[in-house]
Amino acid sequence: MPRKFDLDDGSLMVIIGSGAGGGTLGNELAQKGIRTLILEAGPRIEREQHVDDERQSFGQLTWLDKRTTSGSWAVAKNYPKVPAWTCKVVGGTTVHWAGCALRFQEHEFRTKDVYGDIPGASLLNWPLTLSEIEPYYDKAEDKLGVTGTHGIPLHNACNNQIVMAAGAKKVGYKEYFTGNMAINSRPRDGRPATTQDGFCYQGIRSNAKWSTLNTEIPKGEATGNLEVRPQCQVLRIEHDNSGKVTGVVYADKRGNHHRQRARIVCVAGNSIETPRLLLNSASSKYPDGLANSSGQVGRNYMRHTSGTVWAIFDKPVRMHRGITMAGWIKDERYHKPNRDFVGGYYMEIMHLGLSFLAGNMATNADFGGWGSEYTRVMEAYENIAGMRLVGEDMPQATNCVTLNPTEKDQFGLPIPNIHVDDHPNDIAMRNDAYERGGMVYDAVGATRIIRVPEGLAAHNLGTCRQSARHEDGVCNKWGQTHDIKNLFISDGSQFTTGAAANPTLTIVALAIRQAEYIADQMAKHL
Amino acid sequence: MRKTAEATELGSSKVYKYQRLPSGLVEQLVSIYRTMFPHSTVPDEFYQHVVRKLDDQAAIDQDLSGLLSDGVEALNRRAGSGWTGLSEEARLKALKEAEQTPFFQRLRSDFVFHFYSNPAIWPLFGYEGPSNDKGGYLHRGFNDIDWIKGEEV
Repeated sequence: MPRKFDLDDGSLMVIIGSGAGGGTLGNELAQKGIRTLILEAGPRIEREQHVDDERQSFGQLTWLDKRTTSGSWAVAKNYPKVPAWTCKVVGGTTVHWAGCALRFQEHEFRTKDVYGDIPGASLLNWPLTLSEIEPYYDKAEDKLGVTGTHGIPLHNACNNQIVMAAGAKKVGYKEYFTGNMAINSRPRDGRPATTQDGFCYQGIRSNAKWSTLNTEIPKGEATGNLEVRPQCQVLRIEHDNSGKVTGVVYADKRGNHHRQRARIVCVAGNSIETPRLLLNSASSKYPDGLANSSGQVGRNYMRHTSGTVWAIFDKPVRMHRGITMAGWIKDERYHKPNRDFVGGYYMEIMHLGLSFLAGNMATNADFGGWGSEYTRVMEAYENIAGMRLVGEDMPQATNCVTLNPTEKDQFGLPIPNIHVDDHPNDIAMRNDAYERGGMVYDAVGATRIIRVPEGLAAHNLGTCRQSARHEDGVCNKWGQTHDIKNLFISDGSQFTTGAAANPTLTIVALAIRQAEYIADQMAKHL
Repeated sequence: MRKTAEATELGSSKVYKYQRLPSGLVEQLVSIYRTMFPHSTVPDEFYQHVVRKLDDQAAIDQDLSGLLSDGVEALNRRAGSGWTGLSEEARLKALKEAEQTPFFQRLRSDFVFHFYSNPAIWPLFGYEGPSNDKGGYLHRGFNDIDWIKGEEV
């Protein structure tokens, strides 16, 4: 039975956020017998209520509280009101993710050594290595039921992937397949196999996709050690005179404030809300915000170098039928010193329904979002194939989440501003990826290739990065903040660099590892 | 793009009563939309659907009616002889000149938002909409592409 904990229970683990980091950590701790409370800002919307409709689903799941954005990235122009696509529901953004579950490559943990000095980039080696995290990748893949691992069969290719794979073969690529997906290819863990329904972003109606909402959270609750308190948005984290955190103040759905005591606080609000909360928790002892003696909180925001390549054919593709992103080309993921950029990227199939494709196509600068060229493209809907480009972007100290100096949210707290300037490396990589993505489709007879700039940031990373040295980051290799021993970062904010891979599997692996560390530290009386 | 016949069945033939926007304005907005977003086989009903959404918004947003009527008036002035008397080419030219105005941008973004998210129009474009309650596409063509042969992959 789910537990109900007291506000005054100062022996609790309190986790802020219930997504890939927070939801996983909560279950892992609960399984170890540690009494854990998750405070989630959004409501609990069970999968039966999820809808196969892009717009309705967007309204139902997305974090729509106002954010501002600045800088040269395309998002500031095209999506100024909702720069990031994160979710405000129990399950966090795992309700909305596409299910791509990739490991980082070995060199991506030590980019400072491998890439060298890149002007303008704040590259840093992770304080941990691939071999240290590998056992946790194994556990994470097993937990998520990732296809192509642990004897789980790969998915069958859908139309969109059949087109991309045929093009990949023709241009000489070797590593193309239906991907390592956290979507069941056969019944597993009490959940059914995929029906190729095509609504991977719009929740988990089919229950085939792993999300903390349908796995970690109910499993944790079943132990009797986990409570998930929805519609409770944490406003600040409090501390005592010694500097240790003592609990949090949150607003419930009626706007009433409550003080929840805690033994340890783990922040997993994603790379925008996590630094915002630390900054909004500034006090006389920590005037620059919690865990921010290095000045690194909010800095090095990353979102992957991204963009979309659409291809129009003279015959039907019907890309919307099938798993949204079950199709990858991995050949460009490597760091190849002979290219004019460092790091690598993946090509991953992606489809949109008519509604979101209309908005996406409207951001193509060539035809300006109206006129006969635009409508001709839309009329070709059935004949379009598409891929999303996902590559490593450069961390930059000036790409950062800060508090907006004038605008406040419904609780009177400063809203976050996300500032991003493309690094020259990001631009060079994106151009290469556009070029090669177009070649893949040209090889199978595309009549037109359309490049669309990056959309709302779905991979939000960095901002509270792990670092070996106190002054270079915010937390150590366990996610424990350098400044405050009982305050942890438990989401993608702790990424030192972003790698080319979609981030969720790494967030989950780090959460499993962090749970072990916390249990060990608690035994040692943290 | 599918045939028109299907569209007429799906489009609403009901008479709609606009709350805020006068009928002359409604007619011209539909005409402007047909030039901005030409889908020649799509009946007017689907364009009217977007204007109805503007009408709904005008009930909440006090400034919208004015923005639309002023914008249309300016467009007519810019066009010289008035919108209805213009050739398609002259209409496009007038719209192009107005492209950066708040009026145009509002029209453009509302169309992109409302026109293509209307489920009634999806079949015309070959988008099949909700699938989970029909068992997904596992048995409904998720891999039915026939112009790429197995050996090519």
